[in-house]
Amino acid sequence: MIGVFICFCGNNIGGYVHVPELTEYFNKKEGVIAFDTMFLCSEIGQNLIKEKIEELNLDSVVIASCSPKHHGGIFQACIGEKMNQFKWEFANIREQCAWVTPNKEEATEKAKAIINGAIEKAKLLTDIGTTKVSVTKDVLIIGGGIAGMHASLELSDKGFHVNMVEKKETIGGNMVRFDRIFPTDDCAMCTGSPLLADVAMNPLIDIFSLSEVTEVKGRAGEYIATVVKKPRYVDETKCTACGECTTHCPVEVWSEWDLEMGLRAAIYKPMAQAVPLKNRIERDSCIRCGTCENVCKAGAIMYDDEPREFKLTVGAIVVATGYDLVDLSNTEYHLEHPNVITGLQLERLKVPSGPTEGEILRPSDGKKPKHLLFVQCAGSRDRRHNVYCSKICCMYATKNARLIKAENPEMDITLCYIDMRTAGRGYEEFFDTAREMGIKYLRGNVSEIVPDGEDLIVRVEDTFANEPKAIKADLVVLSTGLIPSQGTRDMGTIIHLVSGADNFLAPVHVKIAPVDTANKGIYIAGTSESPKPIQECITDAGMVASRIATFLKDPEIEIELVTSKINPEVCIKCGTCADNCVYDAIETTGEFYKVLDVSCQSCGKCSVTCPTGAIDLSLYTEDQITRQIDGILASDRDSIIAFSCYQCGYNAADLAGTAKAKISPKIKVIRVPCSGRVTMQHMLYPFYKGAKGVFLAACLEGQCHYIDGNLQAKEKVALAKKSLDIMGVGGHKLNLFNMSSAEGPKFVAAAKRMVEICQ
Amino acid sequence: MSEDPYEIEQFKKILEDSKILSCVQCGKCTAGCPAGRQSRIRIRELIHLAQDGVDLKDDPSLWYCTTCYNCQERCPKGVDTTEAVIYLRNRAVRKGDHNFPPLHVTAIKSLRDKGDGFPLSPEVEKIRSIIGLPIRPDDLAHDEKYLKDFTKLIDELGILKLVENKDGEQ
Amino acid sequence: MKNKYSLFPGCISKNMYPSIEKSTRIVFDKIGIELLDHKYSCCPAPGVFRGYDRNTHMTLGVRNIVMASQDDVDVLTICNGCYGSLWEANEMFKKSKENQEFVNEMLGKIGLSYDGNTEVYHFADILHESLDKLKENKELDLGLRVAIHYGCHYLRPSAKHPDLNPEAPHIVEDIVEALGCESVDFKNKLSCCGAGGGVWSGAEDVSLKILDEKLGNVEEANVDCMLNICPFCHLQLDQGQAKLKKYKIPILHLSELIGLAFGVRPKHLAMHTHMVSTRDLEKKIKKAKRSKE
Ligand SMILES: Cc1cc2nc3c(=O)[nH]c(=O)nc-3n(C[C@H](O)[C@H](O)[C@H](O)COP(=O)(O)OP(=O)(O)OC[C@H]3O[C@@H](n4cnc5c(N)ncnc54)[C@H](O)[C@@H]3O)c2cc1C
Ligand code: SF4
Ligand code: SF4
Repeated sequence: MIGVFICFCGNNIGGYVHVPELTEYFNKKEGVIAFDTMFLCSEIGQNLIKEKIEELNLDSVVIASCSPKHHGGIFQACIGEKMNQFKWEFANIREQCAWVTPNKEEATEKAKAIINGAIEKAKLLTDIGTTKVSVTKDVLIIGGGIAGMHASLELSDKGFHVNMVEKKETIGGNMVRFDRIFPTDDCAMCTGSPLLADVAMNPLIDIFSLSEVTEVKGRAGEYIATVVKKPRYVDETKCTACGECTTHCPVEVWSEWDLEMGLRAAIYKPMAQAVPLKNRIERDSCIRCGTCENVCKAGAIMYDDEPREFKLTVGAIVVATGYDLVDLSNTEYHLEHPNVITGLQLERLKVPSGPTEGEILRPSDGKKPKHLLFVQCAGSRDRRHNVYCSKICCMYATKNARLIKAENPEMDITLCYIDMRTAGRGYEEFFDTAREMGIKYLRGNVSEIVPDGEDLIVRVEDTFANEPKAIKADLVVLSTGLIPSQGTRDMGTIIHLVSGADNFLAPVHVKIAPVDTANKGIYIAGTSESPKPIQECITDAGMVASRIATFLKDPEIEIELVTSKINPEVCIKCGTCADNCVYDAIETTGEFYKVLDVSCQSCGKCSVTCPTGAIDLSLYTEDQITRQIDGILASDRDSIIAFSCYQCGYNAADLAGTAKAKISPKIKVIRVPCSGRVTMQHMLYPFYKGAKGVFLAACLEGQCHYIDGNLQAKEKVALAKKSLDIMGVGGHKLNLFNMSSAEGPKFVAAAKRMVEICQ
Repeated sequence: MSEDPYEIEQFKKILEDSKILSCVQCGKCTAGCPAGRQSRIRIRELIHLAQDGVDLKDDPSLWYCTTCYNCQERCPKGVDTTEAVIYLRNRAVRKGDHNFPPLHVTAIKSLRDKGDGFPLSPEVEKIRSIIGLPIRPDDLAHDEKYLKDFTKLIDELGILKLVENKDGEQ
Repeated sequence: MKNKYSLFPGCISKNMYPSIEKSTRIVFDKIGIELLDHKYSCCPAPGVFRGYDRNTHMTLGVRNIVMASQDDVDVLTICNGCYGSLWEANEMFKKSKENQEFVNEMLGKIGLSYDGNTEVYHFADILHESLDKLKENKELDLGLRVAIHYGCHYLRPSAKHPDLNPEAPHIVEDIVEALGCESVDFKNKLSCCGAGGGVWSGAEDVSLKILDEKLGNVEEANVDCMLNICPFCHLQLDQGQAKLKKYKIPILHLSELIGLAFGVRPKHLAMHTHMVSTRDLEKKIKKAKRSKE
């Protein structure tokens, strides 16, 4: 007997679907008993499920409610109290049915088909066990900005040993390059330098500067990271940072740390508070004259230093790789002009220890500007660059405008904006005083900056006066938008983290799990997740530390064995699965081939490649998926089956629902862990059963959570299309669409396209 | 409801194709408009009024846009501003606008009758022959059959009727 | 790259500045690209016709493209107006079924039809692909200081050129430098000349004010001439100076400049038909260094 529990979700489902009709309908079905309730996730709802499992001795359960991304965990735990926690299947009748189908009759019919599919699958569910594995208590933090530093201190306070891997020559990140920080206007270094010192001296924190993580293997609780440390050409154990070398080095080149606002030698340290406090030779600018070697009393110069590779074994990983600014050169902003600079460059001019010792001097001639102009939303909220708001630039521009105005009351300061976004504690008050100080806020988005000799003409409309203006300025600061840093973007390939359409790393759930990623034991903090102020980076870091402390609190963690299984009777030991498994999870040494449960990541790609069908992924077995197709098509023959990857396409479909987009009721989603799990058989079978079309909603290319599942699926789809052509069905009725988990509209467009093709 | 796509209600749909609903009124368009610097055209304001469904058929500024596409190219929200102006002109012509310039009508008539907006003059014929070009180009204007077909096509399209009917009566 | 196109000269170069048509023919002949003639009408002038009726504009534009498509060649324009106009008509046709039906129904009335398989090119792009050929055929290193005027409808909408940055193009700069000239930067270089959109004929005062701003910026740059890739801009920049009575900046179309660099005598190009005298320029060219013997 299968118990079907249907949720009204208040009006959320009840308003769009005739729930009682569903209950009545399924109660008539043999071997099925159905119940409905107002809120299935509530205590009452959960008790109902538990009671009925016991009372009726149910074999398995179907939960027809919201997306499993929401309350999947709650239901699993609830059911787990009374039977095996995996003996249930869900039917997503809210996001993927009620919310995308305006017509109540059609929505009800669609819900029937979805639930019917779930029932058929539920009939084949089996018990799935768990196992315990040991964990390593060490933590790896990638990126030593404010988020990474704060997380490292929190974790070491909790007793964890931390390895901090930082790409640059010093930790500190962007914040330690600023003059002051909003909303308090306290000096960045006064806040930053104690932190730097704490991290540097903490015995539980090991810092690897000039280093990058190149590969991560292993599993939650025991990840093995490969780190490559670039040569410093200075022996870190000997250098005393006396600076004798820098004084004598004959080279002068633009300093990257000062964002080309100042110069440096070929051997240098970026700042007096650098951690580690060691000099470094930058090889591209070094002319190998030997001067530093001669003057260094410590004998620290190592011209023949070489890159070093090593491995770190850690239980959990924090990604705090931060942001960069969007590149606005060769645009209407003319960033190539020396007197057009970015907000970050202005910070370097403002820093007392910076290249101009804190004086605002324009780069072209070192003169103090008379009219300083800030351009807001440069590269943000703009479809040509980033569609999102960078969130902090209204505040950081206002901060610097205020500071400069206070020191230079005679300076004319204008700030051109679209909307001032100063939401946050103390922020609006901060903005109020700026206007009172005489800073001009002009509402208009700058169209172009026209170089006029050393000066600039800024074309902007005073939108309140309905008048285009040409404002002459002698220094223009672009409040340049934020993008994920290169390091952040690389995390997609190095540890297969999923990112959003904005390229920032995506948490499993923006609202309820903002620092967790889809990879257990890997967390994100700070601006690698999205643009945010320092305060929020610190909040993230604290939360990450807490999440890790919870995750690693015991010597062992429990892992669910939703893994692949090999049937030794059918296995011909061809090795295809082992060759294909990117996690090396298949052991081929013993008498039989065996899946290493702790290594298996449950993508199911192996079951697609096995020639004899000997290997199958639990919870998504070949037969379970086939029966689910049967169930759906038995209820609604001319459906279009949408195999949706749980990492991306499934979420996109949910988002389409949240946005109340319209999707044809013919579209029926079948969840798969990865598009690479879908076999040719799954692609073709629905057509035998009368389906109108089939599509796969897969991750963007290069962003597959399981590395290459979507590419494998692409190949399979191409083959299956040929078969469909031969069969006379038409290969065009089978398609694959790539989308990220944040791209609801892409799912809608894919569904629409399929309906057009298949009608 | 009327079938005429240029009736204000239907016309709103046409403008929505130009994505005017995405406009945030940031003013980037007006700020970079070369015509706006020298005349009364205010593209941001036009988009705003169009969003509100205001009838712009009599606005003379519609005819100051040089269609340089600066605004459209740079619009951060992807509004097809220049296309919107072109639609607004199309509508103004149909709905009895009194502002469209007389020389445009001359050009339209010249195209219908001669195949070129700027027809060939005897002086230029002479220059052409001096520099070794055929006196008359081998084009539609100088081929009777093609020109006849062309005139027929333009009449089928009915553009001349639009401009001769300045008061918008059908 | 193809070696045969249908030349779409456009009304202005045919009927007002034959010097542009003539130099274009010489230049393409020298670089080994054959130009065919077809029964073209006005493109039709987008500023006027699109503004009045988009469908008329599209249909007449496609009729022109059909002329080339019947001979299986692509269209080569030497004018931004014609380029923008025909490109847009072609795009509108290709993108929408409804438009295809409309246009083919209309064209059917005069026995024509279109399948959407012909492309429209701008000559500057083709010349840029032939930089080596230009260098080979160059007789003189002109050594001129040139202010480049791109003109709006070459740059924008940028969908025409997926690879070109409309805020920092360098196609014409590359050509000019290959001819031994210097491209001189000036204020608001990529701005409009004021002629487009029917403003030239419809609102002359506005048109001339825009031109005045542009020429004022060029004047500051102290150049030998201003270079364009569009006869309509050419007309505005040249005749407009006569109307403004303020400037004396010689105006050259890119084909003319290349013609001169290829050693063609200014008289053979009918440069004397320009409103603004090119005499000083010609003197300078006479002194130009020969780049080959
Ligand atoms: C001009 C400007 C002014 C600002 N002013 C303020 C302000 O006044 N107040 C405020 O609250 N916020 C301000 N902000 C925002 C503030 O900069 C950020 O909130 C904060 O610095 C982000 O810290 P983070 O640790 O997330 O990233 P980051 O500071 O970017 O640090 C990331 C670190 O990771 C390292 N890294 C990157 N890739 C790798 C890799 N592959 N391997 C190892 N390491 C890597 C980087 O080198 C860097 O050290 C401002 C921002 C800007 C642009
Ligand atoms: S924070 Fe302000 S300046 Fe920055 S993108 Fe958002 S609105 Fe624009
Ligand atoms: S630039 Fe675009 S978004 Fe801004 S006001 Fe103009 S049309 Fe609106």
